[in-house]
Amino acid sequence: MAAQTRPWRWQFLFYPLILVGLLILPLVVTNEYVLRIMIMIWIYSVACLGYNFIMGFTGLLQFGHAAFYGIGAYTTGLLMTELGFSFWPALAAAAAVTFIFGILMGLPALRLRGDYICLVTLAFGEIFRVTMQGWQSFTHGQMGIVGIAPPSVFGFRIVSNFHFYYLGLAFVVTSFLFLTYVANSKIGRAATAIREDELAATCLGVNTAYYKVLCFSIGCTLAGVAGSFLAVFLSTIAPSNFTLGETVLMCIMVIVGGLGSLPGSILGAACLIFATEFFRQVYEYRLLIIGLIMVFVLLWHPQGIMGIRAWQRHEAEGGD
Amino acid sequence: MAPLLEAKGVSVYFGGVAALADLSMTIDKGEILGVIGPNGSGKTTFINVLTKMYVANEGTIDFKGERIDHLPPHQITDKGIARTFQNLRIFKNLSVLDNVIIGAHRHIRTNFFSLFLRPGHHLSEERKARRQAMELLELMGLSRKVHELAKNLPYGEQRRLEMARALATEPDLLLLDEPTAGMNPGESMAMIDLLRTVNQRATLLIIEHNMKMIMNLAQRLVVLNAGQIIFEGTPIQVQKNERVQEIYLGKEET
Repeated sequence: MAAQTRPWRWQFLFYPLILVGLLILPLVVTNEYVLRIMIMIWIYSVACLGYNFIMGFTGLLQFGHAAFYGIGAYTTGLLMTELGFSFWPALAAAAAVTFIFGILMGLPALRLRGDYICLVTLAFGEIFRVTMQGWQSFTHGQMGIVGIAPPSVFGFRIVSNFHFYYLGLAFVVTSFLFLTYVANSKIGRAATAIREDELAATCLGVNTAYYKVLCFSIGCTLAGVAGSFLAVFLSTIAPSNFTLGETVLMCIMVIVGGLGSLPGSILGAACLIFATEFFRQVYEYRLLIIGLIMVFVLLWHPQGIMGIRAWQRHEAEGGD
Repeated sequence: MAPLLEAKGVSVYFGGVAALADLSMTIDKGEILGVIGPNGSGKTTFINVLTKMYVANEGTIDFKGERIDHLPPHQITDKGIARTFQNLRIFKNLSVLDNVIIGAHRHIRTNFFSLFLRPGHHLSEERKARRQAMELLELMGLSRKVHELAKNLPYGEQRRLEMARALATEPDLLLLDEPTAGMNPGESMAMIDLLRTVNQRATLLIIEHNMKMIMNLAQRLVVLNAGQIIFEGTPIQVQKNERVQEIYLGKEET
């Protein structure tokens, strides 16, 4: 992994320091608005970590990430409001359901060539959103699911932004460690081998179909976990939370942060969330500005802030 | 003794053209077999058929007494056949060490579940794979470059890296597609010595255009032309054979 290709010694100190800073932050900054922004960064970070595992590590195109984000959110929301589940079992169920949907989506899609995967996953994302909109009896359509109860940790109810901040941070750290562990195992190596050269990977005994589906599903599961957290944080979810625009936003976060870099995903999420908030004054031009950010990143630093490879190469070689 | 690999009546057609026509050959355990022939004679196609990159239209392939021609490519590697490519296919953006460790994929038993249920087992397997990869890189003379990105190695070292990676699968049979392509004479000579060392670990099938090198190295040569074996024998017999000379030098006008 990247761990062996770059000098990482300084980062062993660097990451704990950042973590300490982030732990202290809400004690210093008590502004609710800032805290909400930070929480949104945590949610997007978890989703983007998964996204990066699919696109940056395994080299697969995915344009239905918001659908998996949504599946996680809806699973949690429905289980908690309809069946009275508490958060943690609902979270586990959301992870399991997105993992299974990842496999179901991956099995047919990943047999296709790179650019077609893109179309199939894109279609899946839209089908999901339209289904959630139309299935009134099950999902309350456009109204969405309301009144999702706040979670509790060991009997301690998470209600304020201050609490959600720490819970979100815990999710990010856990997801980060989880993916770092997986990425440095046989699975992560198989994933990067597939990204670099699928044919050569096959010839080294890697069952590429199996690992593509597995890694795709792992990435989707993290989107589901992020969605699950989103559901309890907002307490209301609707199809409009899971549009194609969300997928595009996450995609830009991953590219800006750097394909193939897990810390980059978090950094990318932070940059884009700050940017969208910063330009809230000129709301109509927000997407234009984000687009410009992406163009400049691709022109001047195509591998993103912390990435190890350029987006162009990825595009040219697709998933073949 | 049964041969290590036995191909019987293998034919491959591309459209109407036969890239391999009813080709049968055996490879014995421990030997260095050279496959030579003009461009387009089907040498690389044969390797591609053995590793299931192409599906043969006809014929069977037995490896260690077991039919393998119906297996998918990664399972063929599991059986103990590894290969290198004519146009290098190393993992450019990974470190030299990671390139080789990926070769150990089939020896690492950890899966997604045992990764979390038995982390200790996972770590010991990783350490073992890493140690073996270091040994192979030492053998290939790359031990000082383990942390470099593969794409930053000079060409000759990339070739050796690809070979180390294939050896990490611990193959019984290693298929080498032009291991000295693009090398200067000095590098080619060094490669001969290296391949003799590699031969202690695996049976070798080598495709080569460099006659001097292959005559020096191989114990047995198979000469292909237009998808058929036209001659088979020791390097000396091949050199003396008139049909082989005809193919390489053209027919003498009478």
